[in-house]
Amino acid sequence: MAAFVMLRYPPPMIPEIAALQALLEQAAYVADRSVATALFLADALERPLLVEGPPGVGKTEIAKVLARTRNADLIRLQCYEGLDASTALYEWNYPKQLLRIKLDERASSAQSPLEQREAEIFSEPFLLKRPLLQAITHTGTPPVLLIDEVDRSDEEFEAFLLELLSDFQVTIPEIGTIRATARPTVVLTSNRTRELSDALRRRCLYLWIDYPTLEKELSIVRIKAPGAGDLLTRQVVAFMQSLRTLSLSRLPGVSETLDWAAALVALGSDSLDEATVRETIGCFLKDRSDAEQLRRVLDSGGFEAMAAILT
Amino acid sequence: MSERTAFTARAIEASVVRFCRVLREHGLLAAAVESADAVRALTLVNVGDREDVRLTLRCLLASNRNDLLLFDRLFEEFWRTLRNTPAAIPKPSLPRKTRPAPLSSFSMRGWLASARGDLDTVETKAASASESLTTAAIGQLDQRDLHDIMRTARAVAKQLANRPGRRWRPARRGARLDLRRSLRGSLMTGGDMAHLARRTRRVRPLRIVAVCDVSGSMDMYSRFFLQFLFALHQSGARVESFVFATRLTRVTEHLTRDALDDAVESLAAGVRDWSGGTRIGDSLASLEARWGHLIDRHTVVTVLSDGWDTGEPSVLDAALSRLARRSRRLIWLNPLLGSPDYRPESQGLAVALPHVDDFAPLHDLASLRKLGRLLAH
Repeated sequence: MAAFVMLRYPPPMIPEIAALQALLEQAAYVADRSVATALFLADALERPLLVEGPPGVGKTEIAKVLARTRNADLIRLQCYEGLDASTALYEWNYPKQLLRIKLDERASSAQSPLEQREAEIFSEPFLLKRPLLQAITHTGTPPVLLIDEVDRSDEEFEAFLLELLSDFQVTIPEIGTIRATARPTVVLTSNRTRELSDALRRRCLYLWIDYPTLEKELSIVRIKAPGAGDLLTRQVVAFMQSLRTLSLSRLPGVSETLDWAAALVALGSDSLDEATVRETIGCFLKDRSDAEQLRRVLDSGGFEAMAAILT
Repeated sequence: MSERTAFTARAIEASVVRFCRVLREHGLLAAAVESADAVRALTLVNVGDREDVRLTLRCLLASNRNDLLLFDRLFEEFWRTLRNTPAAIPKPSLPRKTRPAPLSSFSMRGWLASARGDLDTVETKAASASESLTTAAIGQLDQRDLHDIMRTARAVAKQLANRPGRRWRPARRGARLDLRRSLRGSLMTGGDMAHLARRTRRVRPLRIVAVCDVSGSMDMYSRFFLQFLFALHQSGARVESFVFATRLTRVTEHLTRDALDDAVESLAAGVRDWSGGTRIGDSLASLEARWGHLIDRHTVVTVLSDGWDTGEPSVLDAALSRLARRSRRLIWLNPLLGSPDYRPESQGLAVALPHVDDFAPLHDLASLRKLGRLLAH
């Protein structure tokens, strides 16, 4: 019995994790303990953090907020299919190289040796640094490197990324090996449109963010949409929570809740009614068949139950 | 460090290593590196705090959403042993991934026997409507024909799975200029590009998700279909296979064996509802719900079924419409379509046809060859 009573109190957290959690909260990000623990470990163990979860639950936001709390630069690489080293890492500035070659020709009829000319135009001033190289050559406070939607890139890029994440160095054939001066904090996000390789998963710490609980979503809306009154906030969150229990093809995330709350504030509502919900369905349901399903629920008088606040 | 804490640290290390082994046995990725990191991580957090330890280890040792529930259950055991350290972690009483099950279907048994060599003993449940077709289909397919099936399946897989990707490769007659290589070449001629290097799109293979009906009405074709699936897997294409009668089972791991016999044996052991009733709609819905992340714009979904559905038509309708939207191409291969007096009029097919990109017969080697030609367009 005594043991049971003790379990009901939140057990003490170690100070670093608690401090991190408070810091994130100050930066307007409601982080539960698993998020704070994961970020703490990513730093302590110098491992990249892989964040997975449904769309719109704040995966990308983690990296942004982390950079903000540290006053560090955020370097973002948005992944897409066909992303390759020349767009992610570096590319030579061809027009500039060509110009230089032409100018050299004019300037002196006595040509310098081929090797020297080559070394000149394949040097750092002619290099276009893409996000990954920027993160490696960054000086000062170690940046936060966000590799967003890594599941959209293809397997080849994933393999390349794995190599980069294990030793934070890059070899450019024309220049040599560049090693990171300060290891960036790396956050990868994935929407699971494709299974990532086991190797990449092994390399990373893993964090799954699910749809928020009622309490968490309430605090998020209160922080992010302070313009909404207390009643409206509670009703919107209650409505979204019950919406997620329907079998929709695209469940709305927290970002939809915030969009909707902002829209309702702009419309001057201070509480939720059925007519307003019908008018603003597009703010939180982005699929036609989902919207139809909700309309059917509303038609059969389901509004009261969905927007009911539990006290 | 006092003697007591040193002992505790060693004890923690031992139980973490044991815990990792248990996790690995249950199919998690927890490797040796992870257990070293886990021990290090536990020195950073409060080992007395259950929640800290759970979140820390989960972050390190789970690597997939599907791992999380299993992890939490196994963690309970681990935590108990960590509290009263000297004890070893008891073997958790969770079911293992593959447990050999008794063969559930008579015809599968027959097939298994035939896969082992005595083909003549095969008995099949022949539906009267297309008996001649059946005998032809099954009579033809012994081990000798497997070679032909393999070759044709490879061609079909190629048709199914190849399309230009987004990446580039050097090519002499490529459509686009390769500036990087051109510039490199121009150094020899003082900046004048005497030779222009070109590049073209690299072919990117698509993933094939094959869903095969193994219900009672399909008994006589299941064998051929599974041979076809096996051949697809062997072709080097990226294939994920599922079978269903009343519920869906992923069979990729069974079909990636080296020999057909092994694959059949492993399938027979791993799949429970051979030759049962058919619930196509529910099975396809659960494909989308559970394995939806395997289906994207680079996926060709292939359904192999006769379309006799005993479930609710609206379920099939909704499931197929979602699959069609999600995938690149939805193909329905129907064994009955090969029979001359067959009309696709079953309720299931009537619902399905509007969503399907290609609807084609497949029941024997000849129709498989035709399929290859059809997909070439």
